[in-house]
Amino acid sequence: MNCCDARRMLHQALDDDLSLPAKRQLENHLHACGPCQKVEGSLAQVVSLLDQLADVPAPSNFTANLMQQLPRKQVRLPLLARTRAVWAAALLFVLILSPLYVWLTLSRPQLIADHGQAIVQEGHRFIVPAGEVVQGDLVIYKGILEIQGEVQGNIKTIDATIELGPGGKHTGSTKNIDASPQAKLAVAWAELWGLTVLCSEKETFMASMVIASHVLPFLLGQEKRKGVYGKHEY
Amino acid sequence: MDLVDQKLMQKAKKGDHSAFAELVDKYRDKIYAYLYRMVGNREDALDLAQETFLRIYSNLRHFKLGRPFKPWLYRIATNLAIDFLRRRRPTVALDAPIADDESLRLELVEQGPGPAEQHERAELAAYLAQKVAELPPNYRSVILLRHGHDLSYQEIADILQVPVSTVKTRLFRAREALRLKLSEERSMWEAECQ
Repeated sequence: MNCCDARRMLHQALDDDLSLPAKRQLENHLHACGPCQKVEGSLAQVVSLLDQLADVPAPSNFTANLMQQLPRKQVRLPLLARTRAVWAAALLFVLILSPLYVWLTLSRPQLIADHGQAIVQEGHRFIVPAGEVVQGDLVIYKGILEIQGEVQGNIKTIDATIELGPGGKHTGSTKNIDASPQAKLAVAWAELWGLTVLCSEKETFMASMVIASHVLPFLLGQEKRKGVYGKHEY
Repeated sequence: MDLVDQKLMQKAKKGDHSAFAELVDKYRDKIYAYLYRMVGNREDALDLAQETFLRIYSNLRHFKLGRPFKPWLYRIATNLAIDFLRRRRPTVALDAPIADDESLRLELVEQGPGPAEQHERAELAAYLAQKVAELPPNYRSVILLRHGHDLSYQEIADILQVPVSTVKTRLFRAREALRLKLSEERSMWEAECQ
C-alpha cells in the first residue's frame, strides 16, 4: 500500500466504507508512516470542525412564524367548489322550471289513473270506450270523463264533469273536490310522479311527503320520470 | 427509517397541524444551519428554510408513507439553495476569496480573551467555514450533508440525484482540499504566535 492509497482509504474509513481487512491494512500502514499519521490527525480535525458548522440554531420563533404562514385550507377546494356548482345549478333549475311545469300541467286536463287502463283522450275528453272495464280509482281534472264502458272504482272530480254514455256503468262513488291550490298542486305532483291516488286534505299532505322524498334523487339526476298521465293516450 | 418521523407524517397528512409543527421543531435547526452554510447569510437562509417547510406542507399528500422523510426534506432544501445561488450570483468566480484574511483576524482578536486553545479552535472553525463557503455549491452540499447532518452516501446520492460514486469522489476531493487549507492555516497561525 502506498501513501496515495492510504489517503483515499482514510476518507473511506471516515464514512465506514472500508472492509475489515482493508481497515487492518490501513492501520498497519499508518503505524509505519509518519506523514500519513499526520494526515489522519488533520482530517479528523477537519471533520470535527465540519460537524461544528451544523450548530447554527434557527430563531426561536421559527416554528410559530411558519405555522402562521400555512395556507388555511388544505387542497380539497376544487371538489367542494364543484359540488357547490352542481347544487346551484340544480336549485336554479328547480326554481325556474318547476313553476313553469306546474303552470303547464294545470292549464290542461289531467286524468290520474292506474297504469294500463283502457282510457282514450280526445282533446279535453277522456273516454272509457264501450266494452272496456276500468278498475281502480280515477281523478279527473278540468275535463270531461265519458263513460261508455264500465268504471269500477271511485271517481273524484276537480273542475270536471262525468258523462255517463248509453251503455256506461259506474259502480263506485263520485266525489267533487274544490279546485283549491292544494288540490291543484297535488294534481301537478301526481302528474309528475305518476301518482294514482289523490285528494282529501290528508292525501294531499301524503303526496307532498312522497314528493319530498323524490326531490333529492331527481336533483341528482338519478330518478327517471315515471308514467305520466293526461298528455298521452292511455 | 425514522419511525417517529413516519408517525408524525401520518398525522400531518391527515391535517394535524401540531404533528407538522413537531416535525418542523425537530429539523428546523439542522435545515437552517445547512442553508446558512449553503447561501452564506442568515436572512436568506431563514427565508429558504421557511420555504422548505412550506413546500413540505403543500406536498404532504404526495409523500408516500414508508419512505424516509429526512432525505426528502434535504432534497427540497438543497434544490431551493441551488436555485437561489444560481439566481443570485450567476457569474461568480469560485476561487475569489469571500473575505480577506486580514478582516477575519481582526474580528477574532476583538472577540476578547479566552483560553488559547479555544481561541485557536474558534479561529480554525471560522476559517474552515469560509473555505467551505468557497467550495463550488455541488461540493459544498455534499460535504455539509455528510458532516453534521448524519446522512449516508446513499441518502446524499438520492438527495442530489447523482450516483453514489460521484458522492464519494466529491467528498474525497472536498475534504482533501479543506484539510490542505487548514493545515496551511494552522502552520501560519503557529508560526505567528510562537
